[in-house]
Amino acid sequence: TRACAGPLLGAAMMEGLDDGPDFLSEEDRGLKAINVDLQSDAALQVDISDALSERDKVKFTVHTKSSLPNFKQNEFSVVRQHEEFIWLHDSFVENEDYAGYIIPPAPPRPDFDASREKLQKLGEGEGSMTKEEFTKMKQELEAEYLAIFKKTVAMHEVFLCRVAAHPILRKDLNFHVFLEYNQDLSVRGKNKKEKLEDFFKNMVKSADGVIVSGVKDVDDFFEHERTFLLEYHNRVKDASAKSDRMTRSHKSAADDYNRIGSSLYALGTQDSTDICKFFLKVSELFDKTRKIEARVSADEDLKLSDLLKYYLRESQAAKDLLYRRSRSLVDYENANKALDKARAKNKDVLQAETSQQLCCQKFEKISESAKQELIDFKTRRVAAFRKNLVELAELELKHAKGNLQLLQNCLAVLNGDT
Amino acid sequence: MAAEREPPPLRDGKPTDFEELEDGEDLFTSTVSTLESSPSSPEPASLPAEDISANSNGPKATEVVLDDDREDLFAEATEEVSLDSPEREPILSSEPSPAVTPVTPTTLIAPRIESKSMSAPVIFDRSREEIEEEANGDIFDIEIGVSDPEKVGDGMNAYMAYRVTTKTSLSMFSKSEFSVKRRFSDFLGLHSKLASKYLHVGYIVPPAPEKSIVGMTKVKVGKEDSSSTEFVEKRRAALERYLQRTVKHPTLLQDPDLRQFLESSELPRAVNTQALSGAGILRMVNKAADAVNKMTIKMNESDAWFEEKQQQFENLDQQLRKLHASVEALVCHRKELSANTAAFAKSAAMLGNSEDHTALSRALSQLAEVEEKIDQLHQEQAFADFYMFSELLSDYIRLIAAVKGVFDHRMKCWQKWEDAQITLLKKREAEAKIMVANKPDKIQQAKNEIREWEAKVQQGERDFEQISKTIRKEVGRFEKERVKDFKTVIIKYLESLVQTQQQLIKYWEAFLPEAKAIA
Repeated sequence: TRACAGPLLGAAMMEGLDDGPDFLSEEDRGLKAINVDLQSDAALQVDISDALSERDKVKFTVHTKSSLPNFKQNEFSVVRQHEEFIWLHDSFVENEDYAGYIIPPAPPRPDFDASREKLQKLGEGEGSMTKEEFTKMKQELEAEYLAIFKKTVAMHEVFLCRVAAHPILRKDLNFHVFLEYNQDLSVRGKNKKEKLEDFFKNMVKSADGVIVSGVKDVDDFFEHERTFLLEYHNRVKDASAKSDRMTRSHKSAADDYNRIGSSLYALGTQDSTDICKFFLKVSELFDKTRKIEARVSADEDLKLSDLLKYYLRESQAAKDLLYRRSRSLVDYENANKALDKARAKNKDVLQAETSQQLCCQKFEKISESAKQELIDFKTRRVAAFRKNLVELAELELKHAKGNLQLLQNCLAVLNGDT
Repeated sequence: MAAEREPPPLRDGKPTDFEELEDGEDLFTSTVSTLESSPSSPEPASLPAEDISANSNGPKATEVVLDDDREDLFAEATEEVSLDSPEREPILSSEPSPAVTPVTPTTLIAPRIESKSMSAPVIFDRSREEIEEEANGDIFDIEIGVSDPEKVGDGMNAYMAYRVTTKTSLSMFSKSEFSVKRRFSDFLGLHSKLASKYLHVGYIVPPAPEKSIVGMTKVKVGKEDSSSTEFVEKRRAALERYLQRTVKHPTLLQDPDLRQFLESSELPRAVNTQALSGAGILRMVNKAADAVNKMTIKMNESDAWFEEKQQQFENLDQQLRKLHASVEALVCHRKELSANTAAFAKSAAMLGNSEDHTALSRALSQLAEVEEKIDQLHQEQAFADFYMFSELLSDYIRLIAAVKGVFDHRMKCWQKWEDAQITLLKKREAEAKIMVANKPDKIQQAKNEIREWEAKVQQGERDFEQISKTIRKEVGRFEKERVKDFKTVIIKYLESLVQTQQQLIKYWEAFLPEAKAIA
């Protein structure tokens, strides 16, 4: 996928990227590959072919290739914004028919605030630093902005691909409208009242969740899954947060290398003794090693932090599924009780019977698909972790070796001179 | 406005030493004295009386203690001031500038004594060069080590005693290896003596490490946490570097006070080194007066070399401060990274525990172990960042302040000479007036005074030329040392970075097959 940020940064930014063509493709592969099983088949292929970043929104170009008869054309594109993705996701969640599936988690809102603020501060402080420093920092911040931008594109794309790969969800009508309708879907973001409603719904749900999860499950499989997911979710949450902090510290240290390099450069150009060559060489070293360290931080972010974040959201979606199933079980049991009562009183028996049957069917349907979903979840998770951990290790090795090479070369030169 | 002018005690009892060395000095300028941190100090922070509990396996001591090494109010190089001593110039304005001290919390994690001995790195290693020179029969050979900090006494009267070990083949010392116990104020006393003798004649006397009321109070009070261990180690390393630099100076090495410091088992206590003593107050007042004086001296610089050099040192000072700030930030972030890596390692271990796929669970546990090892690496690297890079810079920032002080002394010397010339002129005018007024009894007195001031003018000129000459030599020597110092230390630092990368490679290479084994 190509991604180009809009007027704020201009096309020159693409060249400002680090050398090494890997940067683009690795990252793109990385996030998509979080879900390995997304074999896009000819029937329906979805991707985000372009994206534009404007003042306060991002416009994604959703591109579809399909041989399905549902669509008017075989290949087409529409422009969508983040709110429309959320709308689609919420429509899945609210659809009773999908109660038995893990709904692919919604992509997080694009958040450039921090990055924009930094760029702005840099602009304001331009007078207080040398031209060289300013250029360096600008490049750094632009690269950061671009990285965030690409990430948000990838995350929106993953969401769509998960939907497209799901045997049931891919047939959803709203999904097709999302893909094809080339006008604005006019899905305004939720207003205050609706947000408040959501808040209460969630509160009730979690209170409910506590009650419902108290019910021991007859089915061993689900009992195990529930115990597992509750703990796993919490630990993934913790690991994700810690990983985040770790990668950010890494980046701070890399930024310091940048400043050290600049200072050494200044020393080198000003010094009167023969140490100036020395300083200049070391300055160069710091500049180069800083690029590598920044890449280490970025890769750790992608392979580790993002992986954990994604499975945080997925495990939440899995928990939601379990909750829905438990809910339907409770409904089923209540219907049973009601039926017994009705039979005892011999009043509205037929009604109670129908109701009970419906609940039974719903429960069994959910249970069946939930079982498969959870098994798939595990498969996906294991594969994704494997892929990412292997790639993480490989990248760390690559960077460490690169760093080592740099340092040894530099030392050879410095020792030769001294 | 003019401060008291006393005849500069140039030949302060050491005439022969000076003269001889001035020519022989060149012998030593290219020598790198072989100074290694004493091998008898494998455990830098070994405080026998204290339990070093900082190396726990638990979470890092993240207490952000403002180890405020910032100078106390009356910070100056201390001196033994006997106030009625006519020979001493009480104004020692070449103190290390206090503004250098780090403000950012530098909670260094105490060296892990179990794993490896991490004494502040051996900075002044014997290079090929030195060994060659030694082989050539050059016998400038002396090694100083400062080790074994030991708390003596209790409560507010307690102090740290350090062992100062000297190894040398120089004939001026009675033995080839010997050690003594010294406390911090002894070092300050030594510096004070050297400064009072040599600074005002243009020698760049290395500044002593700074005092720290906060740091020392904690140690006195007996707070045995990692931050006080770090403080002691930091100080120990600084004292060692201070001595090594001082003995490297060929003139200072000849000084009997220095020899006494290194050799004699008993040393008279350096009184008046305390901040709040009468001497301390006097110093403060003098320093203020000095600052005013400096501003008002307008010197006609006839020698462009001096102006140029002063400007260069000014620039260097600024640049070094900037670099120092960046390196300190790096140390801080590296420590943060270490702490965060440790936290992540624990979290990953927990995640591995709850993962119900066996192979993945195992891999996650392995990942946790790798991250734990990497955390250790970061700590060691932060240690190197600080002791090699950061301390080098702060040492030089203080050294440059000493250099600037020496230039200031030259200005004062010039001022003195200038003043003498003015006075002589006045005396001559007075004499002329007396001749006209024909007062024979006063004529003799006037003529005496004129002779006196002619002598003073001559002396002033000689002094000025002397100090200028000395400074030139000193600056040359200083620059050479600086270049060598920076090169040596930075190369050592880069080597530490190399080691870190090599370790990283080892760890990740071990992990990779584990990750691939996830089925």
